[in-house]
Amino acid sequence: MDAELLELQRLFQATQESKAKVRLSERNVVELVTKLKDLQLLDSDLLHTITGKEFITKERLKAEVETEINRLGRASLVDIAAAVGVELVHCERVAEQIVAEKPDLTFVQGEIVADSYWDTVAEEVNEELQESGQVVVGELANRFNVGSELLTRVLESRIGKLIQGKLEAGQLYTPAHVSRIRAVVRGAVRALTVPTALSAVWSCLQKQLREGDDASSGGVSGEGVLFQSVLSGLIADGEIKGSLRGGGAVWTPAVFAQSQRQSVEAFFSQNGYVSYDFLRKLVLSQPKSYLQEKYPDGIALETVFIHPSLTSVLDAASEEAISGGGWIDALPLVPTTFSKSDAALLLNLCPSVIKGKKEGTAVVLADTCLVSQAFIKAFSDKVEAEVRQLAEKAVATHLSNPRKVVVDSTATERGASSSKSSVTSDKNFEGGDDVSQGKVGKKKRSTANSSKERTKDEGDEETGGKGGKGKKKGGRSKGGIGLLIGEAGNGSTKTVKQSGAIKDSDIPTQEQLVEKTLEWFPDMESAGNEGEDYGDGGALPKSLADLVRPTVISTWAAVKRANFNASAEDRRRRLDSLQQRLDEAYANLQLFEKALDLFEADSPTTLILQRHLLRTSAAEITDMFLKAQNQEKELEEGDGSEGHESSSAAPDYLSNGERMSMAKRLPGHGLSKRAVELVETLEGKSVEAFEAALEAVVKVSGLRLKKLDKKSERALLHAQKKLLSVQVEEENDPVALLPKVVALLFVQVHSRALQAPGRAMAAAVTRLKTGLSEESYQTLMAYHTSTVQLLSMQATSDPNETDCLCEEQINELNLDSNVSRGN
Amino acid sequence: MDGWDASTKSTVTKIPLLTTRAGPRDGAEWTKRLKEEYQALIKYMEMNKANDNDWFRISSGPDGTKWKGKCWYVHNLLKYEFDLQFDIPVTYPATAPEIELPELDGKTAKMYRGGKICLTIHFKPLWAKNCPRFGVAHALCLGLAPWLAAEVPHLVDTGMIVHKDNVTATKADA
Repeated sequence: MDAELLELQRLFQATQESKAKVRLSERNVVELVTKLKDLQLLDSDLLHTITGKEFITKERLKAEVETEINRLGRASLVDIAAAVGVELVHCERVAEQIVAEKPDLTFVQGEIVADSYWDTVAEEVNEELQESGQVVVGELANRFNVGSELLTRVLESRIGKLIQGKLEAGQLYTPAHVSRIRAVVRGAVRALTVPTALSAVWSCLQKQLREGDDASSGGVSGEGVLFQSVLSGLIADGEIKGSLRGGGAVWTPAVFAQSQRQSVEAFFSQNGYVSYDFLRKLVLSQPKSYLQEKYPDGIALETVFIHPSLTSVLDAASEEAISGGGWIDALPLVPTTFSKSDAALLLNLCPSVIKGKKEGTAVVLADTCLVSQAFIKAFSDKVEAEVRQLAEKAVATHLSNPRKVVVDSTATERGASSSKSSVTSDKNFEGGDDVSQGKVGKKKRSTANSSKERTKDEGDEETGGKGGKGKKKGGRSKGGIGLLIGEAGNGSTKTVKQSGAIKDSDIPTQEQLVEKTLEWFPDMESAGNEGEDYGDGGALPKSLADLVRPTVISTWAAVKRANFNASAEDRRRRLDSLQQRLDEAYANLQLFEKALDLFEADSPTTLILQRHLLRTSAAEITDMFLKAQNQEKELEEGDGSEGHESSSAAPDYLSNGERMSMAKRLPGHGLSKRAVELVETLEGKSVEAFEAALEAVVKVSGLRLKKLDKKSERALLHAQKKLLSVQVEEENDPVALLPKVVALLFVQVHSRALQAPGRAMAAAVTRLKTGLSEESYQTLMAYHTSTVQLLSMQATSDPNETDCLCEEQINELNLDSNVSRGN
Repeated sequence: MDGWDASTKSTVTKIPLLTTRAGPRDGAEWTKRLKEEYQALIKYMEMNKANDNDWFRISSGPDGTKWKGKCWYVHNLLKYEFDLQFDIPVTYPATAPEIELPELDGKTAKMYRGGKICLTIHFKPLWAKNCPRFGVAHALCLGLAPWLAAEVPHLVDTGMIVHKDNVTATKADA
């Protein structure tokens, strides 16, 4: 074994045996400290550093933070935490404690700042301020990296101490700067003599200042505010005189306000009134309230402000008017600058007027006119008398023109009923206007004398027939509406309406009333408002006219109604009689027509018979109808009396030419045409055609035809028979007797009424053969033959001979007829 | 040298490296090697003592092939002490010595049958790389010391080993 090895072995052993150096490892120390903490031998608020290698007590930390703060003056907590190597949370907690303990420290946005720091900042700021005259706080805040609000607060507390200057709206100014601005503002504002918007002044000043020194371009933004504060300072010091209006935006110099006031006062005291326009010219924005404030006893009207004394003149005048039963217009009594509404208001303020209105002794008309009740009464009486007179005159005219009156009266009745229901209604007035339009239209037309247009109008009415009435009414109200819309004087659209409106045309219109009023009271010409709706005259006459118009209309209607009822009856009666006559004649025609059936086989005879019938009965009906229609028409046209006479004097049967001309003259296209057709059928050969034409024409004229029924036919036949027997008995002329005898026999034998001309007599007699006894027939035949002979003889030789021959036969026939009567 | 903590690494670098490549059968060469081993051990021990980190005692027979001793670990202020033994293999230094803790046989998974601690993962490659410069001192420093630091707290926590004071206490209780 190697000694060296042994030596080494021994050495190793020795090393192992040697005592270990007593030294606590880090781990042991940590263990120990934890143990001590567990045993609560150490304060439990032991902290450790960020590295974890060190324990640190709070006191130590506090001391360290404090030294850090003291060293820097302003330290961010983050920086402190990094510097002392302790977690931020602990630092914060400690810092809070420190700040709480030391009043000169502040805790600002994660930073601890000492007052001393602010002092240095303030010094620095002051230095800069003195250099440049003005500094913007915002910029400083940026530079010092603090909030501008905080900085402002800090600086504010040091202004006057560390900072020689003025803080204004985020800007610092040196006193020199401020005094310069103050001088500028004072100069500018003193120079102003009229109210001026300050913003304009400021911008002007700013521009000038900027031009003055380019250097201070940095902080112009806040200048306006500085100006404003300087201005209020100046006002407070009494260096400038004036006041700020509109929330301090407008400067009104005292000198301006004073002159304003003086001029208003001067005007008001001189004139007793002042118009708002005048004040507006003086730039007083709210003249009414201004004046009311200034003169509490004054009266504010619509456009003027007046002194109460001004009403006394008007009051006196109105009192006089009321007591004297007269009227006044307020407008000429007030200064010319007064508007009509002002005058109206003022008038209503007069004590006498108020009293008068309350007692019902006066009425304010046309806004500005005061009219005493006595005056109105007198006026309306006068008007009524006038109207009554007029109405009577009108009625007199109408009586000579019955057809027209009839139509008129219906319209008036309507008007009267409506006026009864609402005498004062506006619609009625509109109606009145309508009437006036109608009148104008009529006047125009009558001067033009175009009867054609007129007949057409009338014709329209006729064709309208019964329904036409409703139509007329509609047309009328439509006319009213049209006028409401206001197309006055537009003649072309009126023609249709006028056909309806024409009826009431004679009632005095508003214009007429106005004219009349002015005639009576010429001084009313310009009284009342002169609005455009009143034309050139004053409003008072119009108002008066309006006032009395309902009375006028009702008076008018009353007078008319009384007069017109009779004429209406008249017309109805006429129509009825026409209908009746028509019925009779038509029944006869039908009766006779039936008799023709018996001759159907014998066509030439039928032809003759038909023609005869057309010549006699049909012609009679046609004439009757045409005459009646013509009469109506003539009455309508106004020259009725003449027409009537002529028609009554006319012969029983008209010639065809006369008929034709009459038919053509008939009013209304349809009626005339049909009438012409009717007349034409008279010339024809067919009774049926005539009947058709007749029916058509009658229908058009508003009448109707009655078809013959069995019962009436029998009655008629009986009547015919009776008539014939009477005629036969009375008839002495044998020639004339023959047709009558034949007719009678026809009635008896065939129960048909026959109208036969002489030429058809033979056929008629032949037709009787079957119904008579041989003997009777023979007698009749003989009678007939002898009559024919007689007639032919009469044509050639002397009458005496024939006479005796006839006599004989008549006797025979009498016998014969007696025989047949016996049947 | 990733598997070890900083202090271990710094300690290892301070242990002198060996130079002689010789096994127990190489006669004089082995003696030379053994001398170097001792020097390294002495140095390591001195370092431990100086750092108040004394944690083992070993001694060997005259030929230096069998080593015996004790090692301990302080956990929760309690010292756990274990018997320690290992042989120098024939192929030494190419093969690392297999350190045995017979007391802990069967108590932990990180151990081969017979109480040999498992050092395969980190230690073996490092040893192979540093052959023949690493010796017993390095094996203890890099192998056993980390093993103890890792395993003892675990064993104590799981109750596999009990401190001798507590053993007596529990026994007394029983």
